[in-house]
Amino acid sequence: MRLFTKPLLSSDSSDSAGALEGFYYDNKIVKAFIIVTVIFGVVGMLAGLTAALQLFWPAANMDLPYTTFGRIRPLHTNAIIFAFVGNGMFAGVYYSTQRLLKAPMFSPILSWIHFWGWQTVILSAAITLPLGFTTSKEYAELEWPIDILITLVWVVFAINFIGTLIKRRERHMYVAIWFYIATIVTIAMLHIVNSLEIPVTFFKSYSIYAGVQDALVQWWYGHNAVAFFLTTPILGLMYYFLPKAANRPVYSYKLSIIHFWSLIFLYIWAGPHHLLYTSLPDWAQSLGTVFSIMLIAPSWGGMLNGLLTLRGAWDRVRENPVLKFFVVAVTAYGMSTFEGPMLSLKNVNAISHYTDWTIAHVHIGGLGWNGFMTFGMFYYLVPKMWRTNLYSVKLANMHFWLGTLGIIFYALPLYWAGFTQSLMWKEFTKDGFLAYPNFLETVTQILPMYMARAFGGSLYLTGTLIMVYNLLKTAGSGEFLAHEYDEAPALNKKLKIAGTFHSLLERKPVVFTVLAFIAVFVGGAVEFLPTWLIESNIPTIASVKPYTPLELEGRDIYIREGCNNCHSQMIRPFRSETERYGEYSKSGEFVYDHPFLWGSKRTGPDLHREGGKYPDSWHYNHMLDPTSMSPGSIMPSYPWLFDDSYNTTDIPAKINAMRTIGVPYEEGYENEAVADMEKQAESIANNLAEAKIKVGKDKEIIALISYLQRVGTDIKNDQTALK
Amino acid sequence: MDLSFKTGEELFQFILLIVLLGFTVILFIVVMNIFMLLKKLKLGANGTTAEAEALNEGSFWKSLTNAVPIAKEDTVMLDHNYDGIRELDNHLPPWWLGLLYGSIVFAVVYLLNYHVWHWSPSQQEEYTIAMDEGKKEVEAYQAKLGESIDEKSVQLVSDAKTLENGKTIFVEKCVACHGANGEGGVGPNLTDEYWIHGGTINDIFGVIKNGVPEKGMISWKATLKPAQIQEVSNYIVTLKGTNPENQKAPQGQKVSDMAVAADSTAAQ
Repeated sequence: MRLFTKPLLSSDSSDSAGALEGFYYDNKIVKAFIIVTVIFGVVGMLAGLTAALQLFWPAANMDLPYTTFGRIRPLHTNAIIFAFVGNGMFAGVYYSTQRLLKAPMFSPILSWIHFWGWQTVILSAAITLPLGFTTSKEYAELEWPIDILITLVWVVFAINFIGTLIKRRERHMYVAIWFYIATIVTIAMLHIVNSLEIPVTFFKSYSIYAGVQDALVQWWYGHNAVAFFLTTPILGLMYYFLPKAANRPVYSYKLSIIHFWSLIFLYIWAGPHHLLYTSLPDWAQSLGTVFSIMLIAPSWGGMLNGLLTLRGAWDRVRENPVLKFFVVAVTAYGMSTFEGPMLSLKNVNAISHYTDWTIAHVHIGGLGWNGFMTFGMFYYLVPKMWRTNLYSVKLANMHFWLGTLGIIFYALPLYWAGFTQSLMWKEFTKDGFLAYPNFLETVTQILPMYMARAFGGSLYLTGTLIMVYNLLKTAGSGEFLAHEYDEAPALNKKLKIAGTFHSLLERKPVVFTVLAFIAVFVGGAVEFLPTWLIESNIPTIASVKPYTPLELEGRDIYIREGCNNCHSQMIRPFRSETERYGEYSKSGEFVYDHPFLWGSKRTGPDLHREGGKYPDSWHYNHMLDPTSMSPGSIMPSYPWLFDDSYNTTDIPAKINAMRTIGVPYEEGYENEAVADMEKQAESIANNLAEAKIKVGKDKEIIALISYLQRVGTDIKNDQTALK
Repeated sequence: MDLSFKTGEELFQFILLIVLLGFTVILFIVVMNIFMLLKKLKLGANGTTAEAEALNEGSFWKSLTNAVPIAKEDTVMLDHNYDGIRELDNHLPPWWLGLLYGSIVFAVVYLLNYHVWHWSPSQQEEYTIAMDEGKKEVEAYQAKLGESIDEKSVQLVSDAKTLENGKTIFVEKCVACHGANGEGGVGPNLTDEYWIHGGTINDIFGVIKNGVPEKGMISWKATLKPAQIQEVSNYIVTLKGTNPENQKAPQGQKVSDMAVAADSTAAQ
């Protein structure tokens, strides 16, 4: 441990050449990121546990709008992805980059702008999501001002990182740095393209894409957020921390090169596997499938390079909690990257999609790979930076086992729940009826599995809390080293390491970055351009018309309440689905849907043919108390929709915004919109009055009912459209 | 859940699920097993034991990875040194390379299959096939059972069994809208003499079967079997004149027993 024994600002050096330069690594920024990671990790897991409890105990939302499942679920995913894994990743990147490049960060000021900027993003998310400000696009729910802030913070991070690359003393870039570069350029591209939206007010915007295109862009983003936010940076961390902790050489440089380039090139294409059997054109779906299958080997390349690096160090795994966490993390990575491609096969996806199987799958990745990598890294970093020993190896081991059991108790029940429910959805009786025509039956069947899952999640959270205690105690027993001294020869521009042409690339950060960008750019471009340019991909349907102002307002309430977190609006062409829900969804039906609301999980039934299925009064009673119309329902009540009035002041702006992005409202219609709204509201209020329900026509529930009664009705009477 | 599989595909999917579940369990067992094994290992004076070496250098690993043995790893050690991290240049594991090439071949064949040769059906074709198959199965089943009940052939019956079954269905499906005793609520009162779409057993059967979507009455033909619709229709007939509390105001036309069946197609 040379770094620790070295006196600060020493002039004597082990190298007699004397050309060494001394410098300090900034540990303070790493410490700051570690602290927020731990805090937001606990918060994000608590949000997840709350959501999990609500699935079998709806009262766990405390009857508040802010804590309903539809709002808490995005809070959970955003907190875990961007606050927990994100901050953890930054901690690791700031620690390893300085050391791998033998240089302090380019600008400490930029480091701190990055830190506080990112925390501002998270804080804004924590406030706006429970308030219902959301774009509805998964993992991109944050509204446009926050999107801009994210972009700025990311640019700051990129400048700081590239600046450090330029000022480095290490001639060649190590594989971890490659992964960081890929992360930085790709996340920038994904975030900007997917977040293109037209603002209406400070807290409201509409995606510039509609329907099928929006779905394609969203899942290109969603899938690659998993790839380039939850995978590539963590692989980079693995390449630094695993060999360091095991004190073994990396297994294969060749494998690093091949799996890196193939991984980033192939990943970007695979997004459409989230849209199998939807209205997305067949060719795009097939691309999603085949590129997912081709991803197995590149992903497993990372797992192999991690596990095989432990060759000769397995005896150390026994006593080192850091390595234990890494081993399970890398194994979980291997599991989920095998399962992912399997779920991308059409016949498997037909079963797994919309069910809890997907939830189990992502949690193997989230809890196993991301969580355990982060924990292992912290057990390594905190004793190092506080120059002490881990407070208790025993507690770390306890955390390890609680976490591992937590993952098993989380995932296995959900695998079973997903499979059971899917088979129930698809089962027919001999005389041609659905065996479980009432969707609710298939939900109550799996409630015990939801309980087991919440138990698994609690175990995992308990383990995390033990870690918090252990790390605090460790830090308390040591002395934090804010500026760590190291020295290295100045950058030798003539130095060349032997090897293939790839070593040339490793000396050229800019060329490397450009090539990485090209690799990740190609897939998206090939998939998007045809759907934008070639009309036949989305056949138009004459009877599909824009929403009325009241329906549009109702749709915005649907988005605000996060209904799409539990209800899909995409009926797949299966006999079991058309029998249950009605005619399967056509791409041309969604051309005015900014954003699309297809959803990805059916905790409740699909709603695409909900329009006209029940009377207005049914919806009224159902939203007030779902169990009155569906006894045993786990859907929460929405009493505030009956007290609050919908917004009429923004509707002209909304109409104008929609027209700007291609929805054919006539010029000047914005001036008539409010009057039209009131007229339609009145007719719904009259319908309700007939059913002896008295409600003001200005209440939000009226707008929501108008939307629910409209969904999917455009093609009902148009037989040509059904072809 | 029904575990009898009708097609090979369902069986395949089930097997795949079991394999995945098994895979999850096995991987964790392997990890745990390694830890248990390691726990038993006693470190020798030189830091490793024969067992530990066997674990690191066993022929099993060797055949899987084609790796250079640790003792000889100097021969593949590169002159890389990043913050103390060295890199070996081991061969790509042969099975891994096979997996990479294999998946590329799969991808090409898959695309050709669906989009050039059209051997496998597109999703719309798949849907048509499934619907035709379903229709045939149902027809075959109904042919075996004989005539199915419809709004024309429905019978007015009043045996206790039918009415009891009808009541069960009513409580389960109808009370949400028509009230616990048929007094009406979201939907109309079923106990008075007024009917919007006719009050005969045939009319009631038709309304339940096909629904009146514009008024909010949903179609139950996907949910209730014809025999069940007959049962619940007969139960509804018995509600007439029960005079429950909180009755909804009459809707539709007064239908005296004489004037029935004038418009039995109203439900359509």
